[in-house]
Amino acid sequence: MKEIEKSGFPIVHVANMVPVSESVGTNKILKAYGIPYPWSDPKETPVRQAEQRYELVEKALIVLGTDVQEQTVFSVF
Amino acid sequence: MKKIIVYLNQFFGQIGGEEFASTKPMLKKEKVGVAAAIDTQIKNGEVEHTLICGDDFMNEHTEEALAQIDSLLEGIEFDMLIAGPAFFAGRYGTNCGRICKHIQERYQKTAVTSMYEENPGVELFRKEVYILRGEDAASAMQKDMPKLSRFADKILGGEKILWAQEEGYFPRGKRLQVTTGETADNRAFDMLMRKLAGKPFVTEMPIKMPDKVAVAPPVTDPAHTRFAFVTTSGIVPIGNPDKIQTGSATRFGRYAFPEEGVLKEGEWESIHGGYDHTYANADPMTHVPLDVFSKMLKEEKIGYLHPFFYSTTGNHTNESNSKRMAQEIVEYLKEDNIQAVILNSA
Repeated sequence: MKEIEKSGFPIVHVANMVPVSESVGTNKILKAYGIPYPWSDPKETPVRQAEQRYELVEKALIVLGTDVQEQTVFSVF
Repeated sequence: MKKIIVYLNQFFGQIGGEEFASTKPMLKKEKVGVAAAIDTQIKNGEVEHTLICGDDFMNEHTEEALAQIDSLLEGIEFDMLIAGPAFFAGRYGTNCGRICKHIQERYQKTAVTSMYEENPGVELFRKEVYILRGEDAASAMQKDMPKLSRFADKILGGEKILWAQEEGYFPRGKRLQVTTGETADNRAFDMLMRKLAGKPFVTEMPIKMPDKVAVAPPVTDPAHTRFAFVTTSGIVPIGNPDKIQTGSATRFGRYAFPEEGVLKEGEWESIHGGYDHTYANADPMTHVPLDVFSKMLKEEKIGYLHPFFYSTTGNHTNESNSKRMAQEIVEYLKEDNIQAVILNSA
């Protein structure tokens, strides 16, 4: 994460274990659904899961577009 | 006789493997697995209960897990909680640190644990909790467990606990006065003379330089931006052709996104040793959302998607390998004039 950002790439970390990402010093963190299923919740129907994935990627784009001065955690839920 | 509770995850608590990582907390009035061994190693106390919780459950639903644990502990008398040892298991170490902190804050009882220095639990909790230095694999159980038991025994016996290096725990940032033979001016002078002569010296006060990375500029126009996707979920083509490791990864895979714009069940699998693969194998897109990227390309919401995704295992990955792999990936991204990256972990 940090190594990629050091090279100048805007980056967002989509992860469920937010405190771990925070402790490492990641700048932009977006909370994921779960550890074995970050982008969608398998308890939902396939249709709903596809919607969840879309919403979360959309949010990731928003996070990338957000100007932050310090470490910030984002979430769709 | 002082009473001890031992906290273990689903695996060491003998519930089961990854499929049981979502197990809700349970309190057993017996010494399960490691708890029994710890009990034999402690003279000043006795393990009466084993508290077991699934690694995923405590991480994904922390508030709920702790509330449930509080209900289970109602009316239970105890003097100390011992958690782990957790070695390099990231979820487990984080939970061990977490439960120790909670016990200290809510019950005002001492709680101790043990884990490897790169375990994320160390950075998160070492300031508030005694975390003993452990090794990086469970094969070191016979080394780490006795150290943890001995330390706990010292506390239970009311013995004085010395500084971090002496006792073998991670420095908590607390400074206590001790008297040594030499006065500070002599010690400083000696250290300076050694440094000037190029001789090795040991600093009395290590200062950790903050490793902050400047925030990269925001992506203001995604429709005209070139994106790439990286994952540490360990998603690989079925059969794992590049033999990406299940843990302690030293390499990553570079996989072409299929023309069809989706990842199909049966063509991909997860080889990450730190979570249950059921969901990833049934639908790899819960880790690599290619369907969404494809849709967004069609909708012209994103300008471009790098045709390869980079995949490695974020399980016990050490810092130096992580840095090196990132640098290698960055070379590929630069070649393709990528402007922004989305990276997910399990």
